[in-house]
Amino acid sequence: MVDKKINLKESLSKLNGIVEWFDEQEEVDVEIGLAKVKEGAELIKDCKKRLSEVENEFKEIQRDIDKE
Amino acid sequence: MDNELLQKLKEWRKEKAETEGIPVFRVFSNATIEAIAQFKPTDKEALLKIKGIRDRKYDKYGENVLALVKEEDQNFLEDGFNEEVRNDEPLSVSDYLDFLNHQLNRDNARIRGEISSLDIRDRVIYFSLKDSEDGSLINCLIWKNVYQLSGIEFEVGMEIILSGYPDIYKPSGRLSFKASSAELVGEGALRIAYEKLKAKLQKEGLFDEARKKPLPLYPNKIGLITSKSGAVMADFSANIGKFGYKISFIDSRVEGQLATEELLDSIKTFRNKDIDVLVIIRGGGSMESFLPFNNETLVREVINFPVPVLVGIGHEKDVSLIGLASDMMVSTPTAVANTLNESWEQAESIVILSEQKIISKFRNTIQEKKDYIRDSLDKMKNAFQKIFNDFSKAQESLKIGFNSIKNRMNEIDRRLSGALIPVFRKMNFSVSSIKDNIYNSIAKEIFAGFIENKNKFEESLLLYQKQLVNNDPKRQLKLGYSIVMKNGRILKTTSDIQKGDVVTVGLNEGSFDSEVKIINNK
Repeated sequence: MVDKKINLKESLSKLNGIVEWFDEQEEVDVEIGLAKVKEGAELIKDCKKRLSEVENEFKEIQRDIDKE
Repeated sequence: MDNELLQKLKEWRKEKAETEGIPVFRVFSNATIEAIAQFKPTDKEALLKIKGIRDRKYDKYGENVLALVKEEDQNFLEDGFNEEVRNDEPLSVSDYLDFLNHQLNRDNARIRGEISSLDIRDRVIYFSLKDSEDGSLINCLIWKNVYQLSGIEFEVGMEIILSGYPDIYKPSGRLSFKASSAELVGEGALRIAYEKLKAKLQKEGLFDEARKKPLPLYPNKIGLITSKSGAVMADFSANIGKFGYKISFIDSRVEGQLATEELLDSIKTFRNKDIDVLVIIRGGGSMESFLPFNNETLVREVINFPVPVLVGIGHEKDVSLIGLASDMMVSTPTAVANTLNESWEQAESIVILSEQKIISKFRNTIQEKKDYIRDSLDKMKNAFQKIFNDFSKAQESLKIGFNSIKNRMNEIDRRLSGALIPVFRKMNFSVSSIKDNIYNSIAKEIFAGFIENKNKFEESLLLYQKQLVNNDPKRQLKLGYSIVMKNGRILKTTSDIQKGDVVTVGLNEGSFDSEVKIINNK
């Protein structure tokens, strides 16, 4: 899998931003709200995809030796 | 292993590294040159079989290495030759010492004794080790870097174990044991050393929470150092979540004096690798077995490590100094795995919670808007209803008004009709007016069905008219007839009169009164 760590971090941050946006609004503008929901849905999809079960990669490496 | 060749290889490596301006391990790792000293390859094929030497390295250093091996072999042969001829030809002192060193260097030994004298110099420490039972003594030396790595601060009277080999220093002819590692003996001594080092590092602030780096969120690339053997790896693997971790693993000893060096090399190796977090794990054990984890050099390496270090070392009474120096310390390999999983698992919850929040918030918004729209519609409906009601009232009023007008008109009509009927009656309706009336009145419409009988009807009327005309009394008068009336009544028989009655005789034009004189009954 491509490194999606940053994406997950960013996606979660964006997702959090959307939740906060909804929290902050006294009256939610439906058009903007809908756009946010759409964006949120995409982010949730991405995050869920990244968080779904992915096998780990184990790789044994040799140590460099520096005694001097 | 040929220690002499090993030393020569190390010296050659050092020169190369200095010339090229690179660390010695970039020329060859210790493991590689140790393997060369052990297997003594004599050709390219044999050299390439050694781990750490590939074509590129061979092209660069291969010839030098093969030359060194060959030279050493030559010396050995010469030594052998010398051995054969030494009875005949006396050896020089130097050659003899070389011969002895060659023999002495071959076997490593591990010796135990008490430090009886100590001379710490810049690059080397000279000391003597005494047998505590019979007082036997051996001169020893340890290079400063090896000494530092041992993590022990030598003191006279301290009991230690040394690993190394004997060597005769040619200028003085003095035999010394060259120590390649040193370790403390006994729990008590270890505890004292531990407490002392702990206090020192603590004083430096190396265990302060403030300098600890937080573990990264969603760690992905993990550097793992532990021993491949043992249950530790199994525990770790069983508990690490399937979040697509990329785990680079270095198998290292985690017990005993040799572990210190391997751990140090492993940590240094990871220093140049792209990892998010370094994980060092091992199971529990005695204080002695934890020696490497209380080593000052290792502690400092952990402290200066560029990414966070997570340490999971089995339960024990005394916390390892590496644990204290690490950015995070837990007590089991399982706990390490759980710690790494934590942010990933939290992310799962965050996603689920966020999803719920966003949906519920937006659903509320939609509901609010729906309510608002419904309220607005209700208001509009009410407003329109009022208008409709007003309109209905107006309509009703108009209806009443119209009815009133209608009634008025009917009244007028009725009155008119009522007034006209007598007038018509009074009037001497001529037949033609009746006819006109019939033609012009609504009756005509009503009797539209009788239109076909119109002519017949007209004919009847004309007949009546004719009859009326013919029978008009005035017409008779014109013809010369007259009318005799008594008291306004037309006389038709003599029986109605008596002699002397005055009667009126009507003529076509005018009339006269006459007295009855004679009555003729015939």
